[in-house]
Amino acid sequence: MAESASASLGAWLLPISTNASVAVGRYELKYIEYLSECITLPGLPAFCESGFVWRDQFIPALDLYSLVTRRRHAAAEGERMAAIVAYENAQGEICVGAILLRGVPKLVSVAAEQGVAVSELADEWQLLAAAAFRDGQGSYPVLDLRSLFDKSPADLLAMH
Amino acid sequence: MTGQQHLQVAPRVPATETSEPMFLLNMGDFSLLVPGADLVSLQTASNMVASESDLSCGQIQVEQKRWPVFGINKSLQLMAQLPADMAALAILQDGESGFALACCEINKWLEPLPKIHEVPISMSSRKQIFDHFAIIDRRAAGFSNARQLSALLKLRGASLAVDVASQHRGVSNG
Repeated sequence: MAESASASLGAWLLPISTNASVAVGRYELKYIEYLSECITLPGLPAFCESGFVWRDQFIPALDLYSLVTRRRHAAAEGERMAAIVAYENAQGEICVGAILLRGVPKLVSVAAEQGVAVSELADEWQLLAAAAFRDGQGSYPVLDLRSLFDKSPADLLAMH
Repeated sequence: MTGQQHLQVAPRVPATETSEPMFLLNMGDFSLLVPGADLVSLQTASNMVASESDLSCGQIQVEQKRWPVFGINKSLQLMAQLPADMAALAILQDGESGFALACCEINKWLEPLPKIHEVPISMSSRKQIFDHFAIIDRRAAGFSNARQLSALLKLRGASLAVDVASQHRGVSNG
């Protein structure tokens, strides 16, 4: 496929379950990390209860499948994969978070004409998405990372 | 300046620079590091007696005080019954109120503290009993104290220690 750098943008498709993927901007994804163990904190809903240490820093890891379905992944044991993403918080600082994955991310090229209105996404994604685009058969939310990571779990759940 | 209100139940940063001893409470799914100054006594659940409160798992009497015994699970909910492996009781006191917290194991922490992490905002909760934690034995060990734990217990509707002496006085005076 012919690709014009000026006319298209890159996005990473992140599989969060066997049949659902979300997208982040090409430069928002920093690393893919295999996790041998997660650290969980008490008193939290399943979608935000775990994190891991990476480069001596504790990184919160969100399970978006669990957030939108309110269900825990059946096979959460064993090695997992996470996408480490960077975002700017409300104070303008660059922060790091992670999204738990169920497959290998894929870099896709997105042209302006692939853009769709966020309101066309399924309800559960509309408040978590900063933009959306169509690729092949599906529409993908482009995650609003600040909205995801710069909120308490109670505030995030209240959005749904 | 008048009447400044303090809504935080604990300082944001744990006082790890002090020489105050810390105790590591193994709660099963997670651990807590509490200052030795908050720890009144260590007891075992085998000395526990039944409680009239439906929120505590029982009571334990130490000298002139009865302390309600609570077990806290991973969801920070009060346990109706203590599991068999939570037989160690840490009696903690915050000013007037106190309670016994059931743990799997209690150890004085003698080693240098590992790196301290702040609880990220996306993992914060008003029920949370710590703002900072270290990773010990591949589990989060939260820096907590009697005040934060009693705030959680009160949030759950529990009533804290009953002074046996004052209870007797209350009965005789009443």
